[in-house]
Amino acid sequence: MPTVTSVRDALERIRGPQTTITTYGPERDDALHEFLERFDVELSHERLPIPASQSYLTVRRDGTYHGSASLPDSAGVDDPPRNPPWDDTVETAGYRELTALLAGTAFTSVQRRHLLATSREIEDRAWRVGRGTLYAGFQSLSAFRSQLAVYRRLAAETALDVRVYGAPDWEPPEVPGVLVHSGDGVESELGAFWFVAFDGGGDDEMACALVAEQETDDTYRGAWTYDPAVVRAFTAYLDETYGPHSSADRETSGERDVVDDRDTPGQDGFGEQNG
Amino acid sequence: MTTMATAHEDPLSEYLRALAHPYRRVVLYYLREHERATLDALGDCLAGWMGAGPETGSSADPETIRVALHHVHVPKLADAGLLTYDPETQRATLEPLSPTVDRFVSTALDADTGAESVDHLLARRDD
Repeated sequence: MPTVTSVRDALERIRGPQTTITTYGPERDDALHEFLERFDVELSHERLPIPASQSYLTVRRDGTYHGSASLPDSAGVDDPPRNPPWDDTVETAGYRELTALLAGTAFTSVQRRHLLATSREIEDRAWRVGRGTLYAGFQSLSAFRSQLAVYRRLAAETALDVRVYGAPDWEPPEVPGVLVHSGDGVESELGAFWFVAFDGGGDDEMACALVAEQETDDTYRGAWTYDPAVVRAFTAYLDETYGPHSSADRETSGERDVVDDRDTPGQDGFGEQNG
Repeated sequence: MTTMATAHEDPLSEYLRALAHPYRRVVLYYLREHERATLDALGDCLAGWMGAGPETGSSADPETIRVALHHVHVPKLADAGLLTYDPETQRATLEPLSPTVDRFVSTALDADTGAESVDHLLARRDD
C-alpha cells in the first residue's frame, strides 16, 4: 500500500466503490432515510407487508450483495447514545451492523453527534482489545476536554497507548498513557479533520478508522474503514508526521509543536453538549 | 414414498406445494407488492429477510439463494401458474391470484411474520 501523504489523502483512500441500500418494510423510515441520504449511496425503499419491527435493509457494493441489517436496530445510528465504551448497560450495539456495512462509503453533511456513534465504536474496540494504539484527532484540544475522563480511563485500565491531536486552544493535564500532539499540523489539517483510529493491537480484524473533514459549523464529510492496510498507512502517517519521537519525555511533559496563535472562528469545540 | 398417481395434480395440492418452501412464499409476498421483479431484486429481498428480517439469523449465502431461485423455486412457482418467468432476462411477473390463493398467501404471511404458530392461526379461521 502506497504511503498516505496527508489526512485528506487518507480520506480519499477510505472512500470506496458505489453502494446501494434498499430498505424493506411496511413504510419508509424517513428519519433513517434522511440519515442514509448523506452517504454516497443509491437509496430506495421496497414495500413489504411485514411488521415494522421486522423491517430490514440490504446493501450492495460494486454490484455484489454486501450484507443486511435490522431496521429497528439501525435506527439508533441517527441518535447515538453518549455513554462510554465500557458501559454495557445501554443497548449500543444495535447499529453496529449498519456501521459495519457503511464502512468505506463516503458521507457528507453529517452532524458531529452522528460521528460520535462511530467514534464510540472505535473506542469500544480499543477498549475490548486492551492494547495497541488509539489515535484521536479532535480538531482542537478544547474538544478533547469533554472526553478527558473517558480517555484517562482508557489509558489507565488497559495497555492502550493513546495519542491525541488538536489545535492548542487548551492545555490538557498530564495523563499517563496519553500523548498529546498540539498544533495545526500539515496545512492546518489537525484543525480541519476529526479522526479516530485504532491499529487493532496486533489483530488486523480489529483495526478501524474514522476520518471526517469539517464542512460547516456542525457538519462533516468523511468516511470510516475497517481495512487494516488503510488504517496502517494512516496511523503510520500520523506517527511519522507528528511523533512521538521519544515516548519517555513526551509522556510527562506533553509534546508541544510550533503553536499557531491565529483565531479559529467557527470551531466552538464540541466538548459542550450540543446535541 | 408414495408415487404420483396422476400427471396433473388437483389445483389445491399444486398451490399448497408451491407455498411449501419459505423462499417461494417470500417471492410471492414481494411480487404481490411489486408485480414484477428481477432475480437480483428477489434474491436481495430474500437474503435480507433471512439475514436481518423476519427470519433473522438464518445464514443463507446470497449467491446460493439466487441460484436456488433461478433453478428451482421460481420455475416451480411458474409451473403452478402463479407467475411467469423469463430465464433469459431473469424477470418474474406475478399472475393474477385467485381469492383463494391470495388468502392462502396472506395466512402464510401472518405465520411467517407473526409470533403465533400455524396451528393457532388455522384454528382461528374456523369460526
